Amino acid sequence: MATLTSRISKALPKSRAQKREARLGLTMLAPWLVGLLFLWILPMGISLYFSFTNYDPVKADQIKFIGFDNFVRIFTDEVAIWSGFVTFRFMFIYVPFSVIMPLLIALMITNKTLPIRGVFRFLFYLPSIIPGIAATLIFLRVFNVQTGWVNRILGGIGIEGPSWFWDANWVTITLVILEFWFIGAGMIQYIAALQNVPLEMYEAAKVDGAGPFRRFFQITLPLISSVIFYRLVFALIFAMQYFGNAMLVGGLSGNPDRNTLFYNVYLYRAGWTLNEMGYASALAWFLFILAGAVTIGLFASQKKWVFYATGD
Amino acid sequence: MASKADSNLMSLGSDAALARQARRMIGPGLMLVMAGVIISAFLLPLAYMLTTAFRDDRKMTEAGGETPWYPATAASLEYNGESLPILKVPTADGVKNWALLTKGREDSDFIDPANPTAGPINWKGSWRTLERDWSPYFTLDSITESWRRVNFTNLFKNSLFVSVISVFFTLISCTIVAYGYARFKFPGKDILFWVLTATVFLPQQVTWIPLAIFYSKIGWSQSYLPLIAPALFGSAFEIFLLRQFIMSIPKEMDEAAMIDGAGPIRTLVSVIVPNIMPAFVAAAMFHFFFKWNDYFWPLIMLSGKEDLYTIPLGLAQLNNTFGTFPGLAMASGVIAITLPIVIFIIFQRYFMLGNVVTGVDK
Repeated sequence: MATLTSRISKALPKSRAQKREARLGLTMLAPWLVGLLFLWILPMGISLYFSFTNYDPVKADQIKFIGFDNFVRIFTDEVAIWSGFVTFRFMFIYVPFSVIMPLLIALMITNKTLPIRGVFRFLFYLPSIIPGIAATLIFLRVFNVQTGWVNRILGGIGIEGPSWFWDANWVTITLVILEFWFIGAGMIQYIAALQNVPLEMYEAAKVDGAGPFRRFFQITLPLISSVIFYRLVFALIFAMQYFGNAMLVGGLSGNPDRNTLFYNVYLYRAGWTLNEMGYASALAWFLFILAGAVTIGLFASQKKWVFYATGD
Repeated sequence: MASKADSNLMSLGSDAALARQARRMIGPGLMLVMAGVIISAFLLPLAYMLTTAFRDDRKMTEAGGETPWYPATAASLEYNGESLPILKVPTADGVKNWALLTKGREDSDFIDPANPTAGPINWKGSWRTLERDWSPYFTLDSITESWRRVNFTNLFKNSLFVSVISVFFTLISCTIVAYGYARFKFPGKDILFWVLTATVFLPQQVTWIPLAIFYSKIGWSQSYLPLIAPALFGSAFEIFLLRQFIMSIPKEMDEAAMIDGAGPIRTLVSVIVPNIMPAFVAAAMFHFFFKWNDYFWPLIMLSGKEDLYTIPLGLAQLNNTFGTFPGLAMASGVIAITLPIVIFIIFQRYFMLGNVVTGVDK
């Protein structure tokens, strides 16, 4: 009996303190929790509801429940499928590019034989802070077929440059080239990860007779795999949501010849220019599910290939 | 006279020393050349922008492709109230700079600027093959004209207003939330943190339509409220960044403050915030540029209300109107990127820091 009461009296103040701490903690989180409710959960619920209706804000009183029609429509709508293809094609080139390029630049910048490394790091980061719209504006001129520098330089060495943004076969690649300007964040993350690789490991591998390539693939890559993972997730999500630059290059019709009609441009067109907000909500939810599946899949695959340093 | 230089040469004289010296120079030299070539290609668009923004745009645009790469202007002659282009005309007495008066397929009439009263000189050949007389020329005309035509004064005012207010709100909300995540134990914390991370990755498109309808229902369309108000509720990236920093402060510091009788808010303001200044600045910078560059929400909410446009909206609009004049478009590019670049140069360290904390440490 005595032990029990003493146990309770010991436990009580502690649990009261715990309750107080929990209350305080949740209060601190309140701004974000309110935001989560009003900026995410409620809108998501409402758009899920819209996606099962023919909602049109101009004819809001005629809203009608139409079941899965909107989702079925995505798979029968030739333009929606095309916009999915345009987005996937971009993703296919952009994702490997945006994972590997910053790593190559980071390897160059962390190489001890390169002088003025800080200057290069600064210059490679610099365009990353330029507004995407301004960057697109500049690239549209630099890649201009007649007056742009790219084709004039290519012409100078005897190559006839393509029509870049104005050629259906080249516009995707040109957009990826434009994204090269935004490698800054990835580069900095790779540099930090590369500098975290313990030098002793290289020394030990050297003693064992491993050449530079083996050292890179067996020591460096595994040790920076967490950053590779992070860049990969980011690149996939970014490509799925590609919008602003595509709008500036191709407008609502996705010039040239619908080749910049990205999924989100189509979503925007359905929702805001055609007022088919029910259908646009279904398009948004489909994207959400797809992005969620990809992200969860990637996080699940982490255990197999991403190396996190333990200890500390 | 055996000078010092001679003795230096002597010491380098042996082949082995020379080879060693050479090897020490070649490695960095090669790397520098390689990095230099890559960075030149990388920054080529910026160079193009600068040379185009400060050139005599009208003359160079009219001349088409055959223009110098540097900012230049072409000489011309005022003749009977008309502006005639001066071309480099090959004659028996060498190349003459003459002004083109009447164009013809096989022969054209020229005026000699040195002696305009002498009247037209006929020249056999196609004037199209002749080059204009270009000279380097630097002008701010495009800058001032595009500033006026796009009304950059207004765009800057708008963008600054939206960005600065948002940064202010977001710093307050994110710091409080980050403090909650970093220092307090409560049920469901892991799940909530998982949700926070998910909001960074999941596509917001799924919230666009209801939010846009909601904002216009409560009368917020064509105002800044939909752009600013969300900052009151924190944003995942900045919360993550600040939390990471707060966790690196020894907990004993909070506890010491608590023992002295400080409540959690006092502790936050007087102990935590002064110790996370770098993260504070980094979060401010990230949010500032996020707002400064944001295109979608201003497009949705401000459409049609031009006096409220932010810089990305103004730029997108001018892209259509400046169609034929690269100089004006590039001048507006220069105007639009100058402030971000200046801010970046000043706060460089914090950008790098923010990127490393959110992308590498986990």
